[in-house]
Amino acid sequence: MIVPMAMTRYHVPEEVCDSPASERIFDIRDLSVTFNGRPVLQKVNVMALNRQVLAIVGPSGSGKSTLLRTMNRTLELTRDARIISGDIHFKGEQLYGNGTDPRIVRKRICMVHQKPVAFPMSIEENVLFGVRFHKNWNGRTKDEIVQSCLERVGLWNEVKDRLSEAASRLSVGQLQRLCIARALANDPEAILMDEPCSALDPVSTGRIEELILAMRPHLPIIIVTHNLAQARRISDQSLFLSDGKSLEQDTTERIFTHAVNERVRDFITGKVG
Amino acid sequence: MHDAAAKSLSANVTGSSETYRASLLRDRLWRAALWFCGFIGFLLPVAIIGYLIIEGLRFVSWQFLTDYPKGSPLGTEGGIWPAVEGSLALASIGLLVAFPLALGGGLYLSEYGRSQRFNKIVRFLVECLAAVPSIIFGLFGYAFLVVFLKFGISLIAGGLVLALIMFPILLIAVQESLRSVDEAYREMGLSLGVTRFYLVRRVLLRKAWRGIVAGIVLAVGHAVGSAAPVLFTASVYFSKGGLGLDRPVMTLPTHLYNLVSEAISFDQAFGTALILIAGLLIFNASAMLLRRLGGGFTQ
Amino acid sequence: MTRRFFSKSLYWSDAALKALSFLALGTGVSFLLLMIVFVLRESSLGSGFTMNLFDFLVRDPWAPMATPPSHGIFHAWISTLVITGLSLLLAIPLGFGIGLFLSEVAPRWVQQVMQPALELLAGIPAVVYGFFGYVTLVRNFEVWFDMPAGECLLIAGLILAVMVLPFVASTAAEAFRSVAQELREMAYGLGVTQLYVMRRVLFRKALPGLFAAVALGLARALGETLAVLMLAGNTVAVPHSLLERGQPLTALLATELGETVVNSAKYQALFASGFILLIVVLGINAVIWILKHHFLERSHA
Ligand SMILES: Nc1ncnc2c1ncn2[C@@H]1O[C@H](COP(=O)(O)OP(=O)(O)OP(=O)(O)O)[C@@H](O)[C@H]1O
Ligand SMILES: [Mg+2]
Repeated sequence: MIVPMAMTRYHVPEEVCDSPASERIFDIRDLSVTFNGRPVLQKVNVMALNRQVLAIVGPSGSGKSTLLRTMNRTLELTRDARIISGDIHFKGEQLYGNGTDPRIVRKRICMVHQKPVAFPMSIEENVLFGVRFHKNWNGRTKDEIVQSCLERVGLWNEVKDRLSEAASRLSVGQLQRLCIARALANDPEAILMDEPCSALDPVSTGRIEELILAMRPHLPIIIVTHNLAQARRISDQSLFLSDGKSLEQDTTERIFTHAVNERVRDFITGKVG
Repeated sequence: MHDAAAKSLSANVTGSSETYRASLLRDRLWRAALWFCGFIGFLLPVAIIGYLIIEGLRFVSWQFLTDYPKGSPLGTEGGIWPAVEGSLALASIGLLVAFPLALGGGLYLSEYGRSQRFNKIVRFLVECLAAVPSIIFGLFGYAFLVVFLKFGISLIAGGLVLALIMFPILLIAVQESLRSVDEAYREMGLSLGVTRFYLVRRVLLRKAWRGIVAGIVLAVGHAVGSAAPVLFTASVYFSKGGLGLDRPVMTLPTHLYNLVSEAISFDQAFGTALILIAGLLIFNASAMLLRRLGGGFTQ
Repeated sequence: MTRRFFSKSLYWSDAALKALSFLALGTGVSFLLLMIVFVLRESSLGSGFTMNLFDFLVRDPWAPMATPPSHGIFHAWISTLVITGLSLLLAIPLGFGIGLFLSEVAPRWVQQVMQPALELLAGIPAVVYGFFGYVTLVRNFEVWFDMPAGECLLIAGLILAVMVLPFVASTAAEAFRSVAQELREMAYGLGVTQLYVMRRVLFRKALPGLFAAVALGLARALGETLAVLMLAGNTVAVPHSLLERGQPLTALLATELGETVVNSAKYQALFASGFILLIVVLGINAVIWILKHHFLERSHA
């Protein structure tokens, strides 16, 4: 399908553009990424605000995961990926500045993956995985950290009697919440989620959504999702990505009712994708 | 015309056509031949090991294991303790030297090496090292360690040669078992901001240790059984026992070789062969048990 | 602006591990190069061909005690060639058969029994094979063929065949297994028999892997020492039949090295033959490597 140039122009609502810099958690400008020289993201723009959930939606293969992975510097773990241009600011700091340590970036901006993975250790040690490395005890004992993180993800009551069991015995839904607890234990300043519910049943999905809404006041969350209804339920802002280009960002309400871009409208009403 | 085609088709479906039946028969024969091949492949190890055990059991006793070679010519009576001791010492030294190197090398190739090309070349060299015949290791060890570095025929020279033989086997095992750990563990671990070192220590090695143990078993088994590399670097005809790094030792395989080639005693040779085989089998079995039982969290 | 993304001392361990592991890798691998260089240095080839290569390989007999002494290895590589050829002649058909059996015919439980059985066969030390061959075959040959001493090329070849069999068989099984399942199903879907599929599809597709299996067997057989040392008879005469005694290259090295004055002409001749053996085996290994990679790329496509 041929789309007129005017339609592909990126659109950002004014209140986002006008927000003070301190409220901008992520400010991504003209980000371009290639895999083996093949462009995967082209001049992508994103703006995420504090105390908000930003949903990234778009057809499969449009580069959503790639975008997310640039935001905590895990993209560089893939050998063929290159960032060829663009700027990413996190709370006003350059994410890819000279001398920036990617591991500190990853500690401050955590990622929850699509498929939960249990590390080969106990439930408790899974939660403490990052803490033991970063030593961010902040005066808390290990039991306190484990309990508070598991409580925040609503897993505490289910596992409190079996903290020293192997984490691989948990169900997938429980495991995904454990992964979120593991990320929270790092004391992150933002959380990125890549289709966190796509491996889960509706009940577990509901619990994760509750969790996201509960975290929103304290933590900015950016979530990639294929489920438009979910984006609508939990996000404040939505960004539409297609073929590696950011087509439109707006409040979720407006994007789902009055999208400016025709392709976004088509996608949302189910005509394509 | 139409009828004939239908007839031949139905004949084929019921399998009554002449050529079809012939080809089915050929197929049966072929399958039988393959089963026969498989049977021989199974029979050979069972027969060889069974024969050695049955013949050897008559000559093996606790005393045989713990006594020194005696009689005249030496080795016609007594036991083989110095050879057992020497073989164990040689393999231990070899493993002690080779394992850290192989662990580091495998780790580098699977976790740190960023250049595909470099990794490929190095891996090729490692496989070359694994392919070198053991007698060549013996030649090299003799010329380099025994003569050039003036180690003399000694435990340390033999141990280092065995280390060289074990290194590629261990490295390949480490690299392959690390590589078979799902990429998701790395992605997820590193996305929490930890270093590769931490990830390796806490996650990857726990996932990979079974494969590494299998590699150790393979390497040690190979080293304990090989006579050619220690023939000129470490072993002597007879030793009164007691180990020293600068002193030569007896080993099980070279002792067996001497007993047979000098026609000293076939009874003793049967006993020695059985001890060697049984030791390797027990070692293999216990490692298998360890892999089955150990590490509750890695399941 | 805060500079909070900058690195802390926490990360030194990673750099240290990386450096150490690189060092370990370098140390281990450099020994291969050292070995090649050293064996070459010790051989006469290193000091500018003091001996004529043609004389060395073909013309001269091995007679270090004669005056003047002569060090030719014709008898040795002929024996090596005969024994290796014989062992492969036996091991290849049987090994391919076992490989085919394992990958196409055997039920699961049989595979699970066969796998450790083959590993067992590969794990028996060479010297034990030599001993086994001695007490079973050599003694009986003396009776059957009325030989004064039973050792001969035939026995060495037979035992060597058993020794390389597990390597040929498991590499062949791997080659057959890696033929794509869809291809197999598509072939069976045409209603043909298993034999037909094996002949027309499997063999052709698995060919590079089978070639690698042969090459692996060849490399193993060429370098095998103790068993042929004990079974081939160890005489320096050039053999004329399978029932005669011979002295393969590896046996020559194992027999003579211990009694040779360092840096004598004989010493150099021994290292020269070792060097030739080393280069041949490394060359075969390179062929295996290329086949394996070629093969892998093909089966991915
Ligand atoms: N490791 C890789 N090597 C090469 N190309 C890749 C790699 N990972 C992703 N790509 C390519 O980059 C493009 C974007 O992939 P990405 O995973 O970001 O899409 P996505 O929007 O997350 O899709 P999905 O909704 O299916 O998860 C795709 O065309 C994909 O083929
Ligand atoms: Mg994705």
